[in-house]
Order: sequence, then structure tokens, then C-alpha cells
Amino acid sequence: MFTYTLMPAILLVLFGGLLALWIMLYHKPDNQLERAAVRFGWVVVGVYAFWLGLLSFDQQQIPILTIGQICVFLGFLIWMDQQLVERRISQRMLVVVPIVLVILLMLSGIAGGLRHLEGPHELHSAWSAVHIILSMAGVAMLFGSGVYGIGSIVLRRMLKKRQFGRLFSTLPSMDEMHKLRSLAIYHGWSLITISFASSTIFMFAERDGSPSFFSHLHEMFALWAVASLLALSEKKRWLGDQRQARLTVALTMLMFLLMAGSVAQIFFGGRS
Amino acid sequence: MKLEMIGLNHRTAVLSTRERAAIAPDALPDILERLVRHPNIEGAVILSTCNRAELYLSPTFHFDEAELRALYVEAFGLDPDDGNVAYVHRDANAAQHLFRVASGLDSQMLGEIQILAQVKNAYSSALELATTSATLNKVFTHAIMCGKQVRTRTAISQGAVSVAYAAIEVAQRLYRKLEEHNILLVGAGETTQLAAKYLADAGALNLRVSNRTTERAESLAQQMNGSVTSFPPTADDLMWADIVVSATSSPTPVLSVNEQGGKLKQRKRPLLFLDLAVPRDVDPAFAEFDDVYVYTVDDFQELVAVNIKARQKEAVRAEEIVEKEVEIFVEWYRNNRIAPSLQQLQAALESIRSAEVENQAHHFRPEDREEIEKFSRSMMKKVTSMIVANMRRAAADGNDLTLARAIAVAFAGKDRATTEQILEQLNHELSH
Repeated sequence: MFTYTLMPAILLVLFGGLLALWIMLYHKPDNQLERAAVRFGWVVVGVYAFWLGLLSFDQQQIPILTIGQICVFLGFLIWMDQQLVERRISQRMLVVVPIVLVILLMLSGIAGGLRHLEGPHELHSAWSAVHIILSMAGVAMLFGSGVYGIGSIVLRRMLKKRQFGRLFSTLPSMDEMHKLRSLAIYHGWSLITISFASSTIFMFAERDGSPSFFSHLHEMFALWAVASLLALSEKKRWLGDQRQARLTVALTMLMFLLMAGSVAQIFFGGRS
Repeated sequence: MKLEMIGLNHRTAVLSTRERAAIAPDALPDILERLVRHPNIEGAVILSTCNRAELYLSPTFHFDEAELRALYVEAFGLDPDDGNVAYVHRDANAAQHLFRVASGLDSQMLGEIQILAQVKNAYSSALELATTSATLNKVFTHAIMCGKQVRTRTAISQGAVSVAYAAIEVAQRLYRKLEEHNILLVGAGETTQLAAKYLADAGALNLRVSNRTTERAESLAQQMNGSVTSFPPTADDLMWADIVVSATSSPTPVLSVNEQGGKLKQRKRPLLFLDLAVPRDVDPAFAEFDDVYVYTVDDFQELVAVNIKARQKEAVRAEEIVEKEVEIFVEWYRNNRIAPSLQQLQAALESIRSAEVENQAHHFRPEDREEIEKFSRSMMKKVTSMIVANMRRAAADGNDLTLARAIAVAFAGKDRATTEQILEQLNHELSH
């Protein structure tokens, strides 16, 4: 009851409070309140980690056994990522995007089921834990790059159209968003690559294992290829900053779909 | 213990009067020391800026208004007529005025930041010269705290409110750290020089100057530690630059897409044109490039108007903060008005208590003496606390002074002089 009903409810209330706080800060900027909101964000990280700890304790392993659990685990990584970035650069209004994303992931998680189920047995192994956690951390980073891409596009529009509202002065500057986007892409790509490599090693090592582990190979490879293309384009500066931002948003969406497909293959698909 | 202020500012006095009222830093000690030598002045602080000349006093008794004006005129070296345009505030109103000043609510440019530093400097100068008093210490430290609070809790100081700063604000929306980016200055006239100065103040380091007259370009480049390039700038100059500031007097655009825009399609980073010239120096067609932004004087004025409007909105919240802080100060101030009476009451009660303990000592065993002392002190403390609490309650209805007066009379001791002094102070307060 406490782990599966009360804790997610508490977390949803906390995220709702955070969302209300940041929306209020948009209308009434207050540095003290903003600092309090950031501190409150860390409290939420703590509560979230405690909850994941409870889920892990209950099922005797990291909560990645169901789609619902994967959603809430991803939500945690996104929120953690957001809090770490906030320490470096105040994002003011961009913080609303991750909060909404985490709330949606939590709701999907609750709908998808949080209770311990007999999932594919590979998911119980240490290798799969490493692979899934790294994949999700990488995807969380890549989501972050998409958020900064959206931020750049919004700020560009404001600069071009002379929309000098509150958002104009509260968003991070264009170069900060480009830097954050690059950082998120490189880190995301590195994590996805390590994850992919680790799963490949595991695949060869456990050649006689269950087919479900191999099932999402194509999606995983496609996701890695897209992330690599994005990282390469960022590194080689093939495009101007704005075009790169647009490409990041488009590829982040694609990666989200591939990730969803990949997860669905593990749970519902056969060998692909 | 009173508080009074008299002064003039941009709203009440013309520039020439304000110029006359301005006090040079080296003249300040003399004036302050002369003021505190006045028998009725316990402390004095002078706030002298380009927009205001204010004198804050903590007199023993409130000055007559004419006397105060004369004192002000003499201290600031003004004509007697100038004293008539000065505003006078007393006690809570004086505190409120200072709190509003420190918060930037009384400034010509709403929410300006410099005024808080000026209030701090005025106070620390007086503190160093030992011309402050307990009331002035309290009101100034509280005002500084209030000014800080207003700026952290509202956006009253946010957003540029002058065209030059608006240009910097737009530049910083693209590049937060200007020191990491290249700036091309086109023209070397007054406007470009001013813009260069603002950019340098905001951190810009890498500057290149392009001007029709090479000597002037070199002079500006030397001032800004920059370099000189040809006039008009080349396509390569535009590829090098992240920000282009242009302010020439050319009747036709100095920078056109046809002449210098050829390479811009290959550009990977944003380029910002700050066109401060009228007629415009920058071809508006540059704005058609994906990551190129062209801003003119009109755009900055639009941004300034938006920012001013936003500050006015924030001023309402700032006034609320000031109001709350004034209430806190007024409570402290009221408590201090009645403090001498309370001290007298405590002294009288203590004297009665100790005398009674002494008189009754022979009824008790010596070893009980300590307990009796403890018991009697505790009882007196309770009586005093009850009276203090009731006086504070009475303060809310404005009856605290009458009550304090009654206490001063009722508990008058042998020291008649002290009682007389307390009564004189209270009578003076009551007459105001």
C-alpha cells in the first residue's frame, strides 16, 4: 500500500507543488523563492530515490521489471539531470518542461503497473540492470538536449519577432542553451554507447539465453545510430546552431519512439 | 529619540538647485560634525546623489519646520528660497521615505540599483564619523535590508531601462559571457564610444574597430585594447564578429547583404547587429538569414518600454514589502519611545523589592534569603511583564504615551531630574 499507492501519490503531489511554484515564479519572480524551489527540487529527488529504494527492496532488484517501473525510473533520471543542470545554469522557465515530462512518465508508470511481476528473466540479471540503467540515463540526457533545443528555438523566435515578455528575460541565453545541448548530447551518446556495448558483450556471453534479450536489438541499434548521427553532427558542426537545435528536437522525438518500441519489444515482442 | 528628514530630489527641484545642493565627499565630515554639535541633534546622516540631497536627523525634540528648513539650507549651502521646495517627513513617514528610496521606488529610473549602494555609503560615512544615533542606526540598517529584500523578491531592478543597456541586454540574450565573443564596432563617434564602454563594462574583450577616419578608429581601438579593420568592414569581418555595433552618420547602409553578406550562409553561430544609427547602417535584409538578428534603435526603445511597464507592475509588490518593513520599524520605534519610562518602572520596582527584602530579612532564616530573593524577583518580573504587555497593546491604539507618562509620574523616584527629562520627552511626543 505504502510503496505502490501512497508514495507515488506523495510524489505526484510534490511534483504538482513544484510545477505550481515554477509557474508562480514566472508571474512573480522572486530570487528567494526560486532558491527555495531548487532546494525543494532536491527534497523531491530524495523522496523519489527513497521510493525507488522501496521498490528495489520489495522486488530485490532495481525497479526495471515492468514498463511502468521503467517509466518511473526514467522520470527519476530526468529529474536528477534537471537538478544537476540547475546547479550550473538557472533555467528559470525551462524547468517546467522536465517537471511536466516527469509527471507524465509517473502517470504512465502508474497506468503501466508498478507491482512486481514475473517479467522476462534476463531483466533479473546484473548485466541487464547495467544495460537498462545506462540506456535510460542516456535517453534522459538526450531528452534534456531536446528540451534545450526547444529553448533555443523559442528564444530565436522571440529575438526575431521582438517578443520581449517575461520569458524573454528568464530563459537561459542562446549560447548557454547551445552548450547545454552539446553537453547533453555527448553524455547521452556516451551512455547509450556503453549500454549498447555492454549488452552486445552480454548477448555473446549468454548466446543460449532467452530470445527476449535479442528481441529489441534492431531498435537499440537504430537508437544508437540516431544518437551517433546527432553527436557527430554536433561535433563536426555540419549545421548552424539553430538548425542543429531543430535537428536535435526532431531526433530526440525519433529516439523517444525507438526507445518506446525497444521497451515494447522486450515485454511484448519476440525475436526481431 | 526622534526621526526627521528633509530633502529635495528630481521631482521637487530643478537640476541647478540639485547641483547647488550636491555635497562633495571631502566637505561631508565638516557638515556632519557641525550638525551633531547642535544641542538638539543626536545624530545626522546626509544622502547626497545626483538626484537627491537629503538630511536625516535624530533630534532630541522635533524641530519646528521653519527651523529645520533653515538648518537644511545652511548645511547644504543653498539659498533660503531653495529650502521651501524641500520636503519634510517625520518619524514613521521619514522611515517610509528612506525605505522607498533604498528600494528604488523614489528614483527617477524606477528600481535603479545604484541608490542602494549610495544609501549604504551615506550611512557608513556617518558611522565612520560617529555622527549616527541608535535611531539612525536602526532606520538605515533596516532600510538597506528592505532595499535588498525588494530587489531579491521582486523584479523591480530587472530589464534594461535605457537604450544603451537594452542593447547590452539583447546581446546577453544571445551571449551571456561577452568576454568569449568578438565585437565589431562600425564608426568611432560618440554613440559607438559609449556603446563600446558599456560592452566593455559588461565584459567584452575582443573588439575590432572600423571607421572612415583611420586615426579615430585607432584611437578608439587603443582605448578598448582592440584592433582596427578596414572601412566598410569586409565579409571576413562579419564572419569574425559575433556582435556588430554600428553607429555611423552615413546616409546609406554601410553593411549590405550584397556587399558583405556573401559568406554568411556558411556561418554556424548567431550574429547580432546592433544598429544604433539613424538613418540605418545595416541592411534589414540581413535579418532574413536564419541565425542573424538585426536590432535598431526602435527595437531597443520597444524593449525599454516593456521593461519599464514590467517594473511598474513590480513596484506594487515592492510597495507592499516596504509597507510591512515600515510596520516592523514603527513597532520598534514605539517601543523605544516608552523605553525610558519602562526603565524607570523597573528601577522603582527593583528598589522597592530590595528594600522590602532587606526590611523583612529578620523574619527569615539566613539560609532562606536566596529563595526569598528569587521569589521576589520573579514576582516583580511578572508585574513588569504584565505592564509592558499592556503598554504594547495600548500602543496599537496610540495610548502608550499617555500610559508611559502616567507610569513616569506614578513611579517617580528621588531622582527628580531624570523623571522631569522623561516627562519632557513624553510631553513633546504627545504634542506631535
